[in-house]
Amino acid sequence: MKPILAIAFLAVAFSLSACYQEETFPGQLSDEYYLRHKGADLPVWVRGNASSSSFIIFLHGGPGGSSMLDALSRTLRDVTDAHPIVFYDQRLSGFAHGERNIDNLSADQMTEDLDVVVEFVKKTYNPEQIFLMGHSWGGFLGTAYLANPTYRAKITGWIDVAGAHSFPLTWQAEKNLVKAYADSMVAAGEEVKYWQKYLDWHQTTTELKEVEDLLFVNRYAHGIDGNPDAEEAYEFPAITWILSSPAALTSSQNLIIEGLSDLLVSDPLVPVMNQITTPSLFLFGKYDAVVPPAVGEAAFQQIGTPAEDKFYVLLEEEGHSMWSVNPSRFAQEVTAFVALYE
Amino acid sequence: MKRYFPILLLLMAQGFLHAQPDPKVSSLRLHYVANQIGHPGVQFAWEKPLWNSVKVKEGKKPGQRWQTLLVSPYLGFHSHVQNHRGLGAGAGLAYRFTTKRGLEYQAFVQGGYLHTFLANPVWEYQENGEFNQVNSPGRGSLGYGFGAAFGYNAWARGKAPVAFSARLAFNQPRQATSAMLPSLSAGVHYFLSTSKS
Repeated sequence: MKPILAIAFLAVAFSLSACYQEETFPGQLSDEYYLRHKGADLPVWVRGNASSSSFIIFLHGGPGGSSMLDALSRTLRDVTDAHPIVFYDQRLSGFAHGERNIDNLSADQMTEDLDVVVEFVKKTYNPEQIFLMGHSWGGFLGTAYLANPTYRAKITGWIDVAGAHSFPLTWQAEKNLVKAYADSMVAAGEEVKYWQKYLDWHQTTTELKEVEDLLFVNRYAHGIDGNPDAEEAYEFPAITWILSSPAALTSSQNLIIEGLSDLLVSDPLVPVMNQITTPSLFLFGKYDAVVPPAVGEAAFQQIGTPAEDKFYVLLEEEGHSMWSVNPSRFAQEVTAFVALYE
Repeated sequence: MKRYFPILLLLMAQGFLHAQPDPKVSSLRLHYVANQIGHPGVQFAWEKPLWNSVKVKEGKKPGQRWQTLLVSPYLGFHSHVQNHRGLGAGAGLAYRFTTKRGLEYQAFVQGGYLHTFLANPVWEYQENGEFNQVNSPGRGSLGYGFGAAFGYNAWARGKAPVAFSARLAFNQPRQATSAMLPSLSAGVHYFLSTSKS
């Protein structure tokens, strides 16, 4: 009889997952679309204060990540209470559907996709201002978008959240930070084999030439990222993880990295950063080991935005996930910046 | 639909009354599927034995051990909330071992076609800068998978001609993903026996 009971239990548990409905809130937008463009179906979810005339388009990290975990778990609810956020997944990423073709995968194609999202938001909601907010890889994508003057004209403000505008610079900063940590671990006699492997690699690899070098240091950096003494403010409910399909979300990551492998070891944006004059906010986390604050400081210096319109904020409690420890502080910085240009 | 219910009941009752355990008999399987663990669906399959072997055990606790090789064409549906709905068809090849206590252990491979329909309206960007809402025909994908199942065969114990099972499968719809996506399912098999006791 026990197997029957176990099967019945599983059936009930699965049925509960079928009953899941994302919560909706009065006065808040909760719209969902797919945008079809050049073989990709990009999911676009709009969440947040329907009375605001300033929209924020969120560019997820990766490449190959997803915005939808943040949309589902409402980790950015302190921001969406004030302004709608447009969550979308880039081609070959997250919930995106379409052709699994990397032949036309490039920064140009992905900025063109972003422009399609911008145009859709303009035509559907007619907002007075559109802000871009790019996290990690999204920081590169947003900067690449703003480097195009036609695109740039459509954007009121740029919010760079631990953005990697320069891959070699990010890699070098990450590499040095991990080395310091590895040295301390070896000296303390903790996980010596693991960290010594890193130190050996560090000594022999001095220049970013292959995407594997980027991924290698990235794995170590993710392992030490974040404030070890801080508690996360939001717990992702298990149902969120289950419904978001962790397997599906990461399933194309290798493919997209293969498609962008040349781009990920290049540095195309630093020479054109001074042409970008968009009001900009750079938010970086003190405990970020993946895109360390040094990268944000460099971007802040390199961007052509006048001094009175650019801001650099170091969040003292955060790692790479910038809204995980003190989301209200994060939201406060974002909404204060948006308010300056409304 | 209501008028067919008594007929269905009669057909099933016939199986319950007259069935004799027989590993050569086909079965219909209806499973509740949790595609990628969290996305609900159903799968309906016809399981046809291709080969079987019966080992009769005598002694204090007599019984039969069955080994069966099955082919199982299936139809399935799942819904990924806020993302897509999927319709699938294919066939599996399975090896099943049934103990004299009615416990079933099974390993299988399968291949098939999955068609996904997006769960939200699709807007297409036009060259003139406008967006048109389009009727999306969905996208197809061929794939393969493998897995294992565990179950209880009541019929092998001389009871009703039904079995219950839970399956864990890994599938890769090749045009949709490069990952092996897990799915859990659980449900019932009904043996299509007409043999008289």
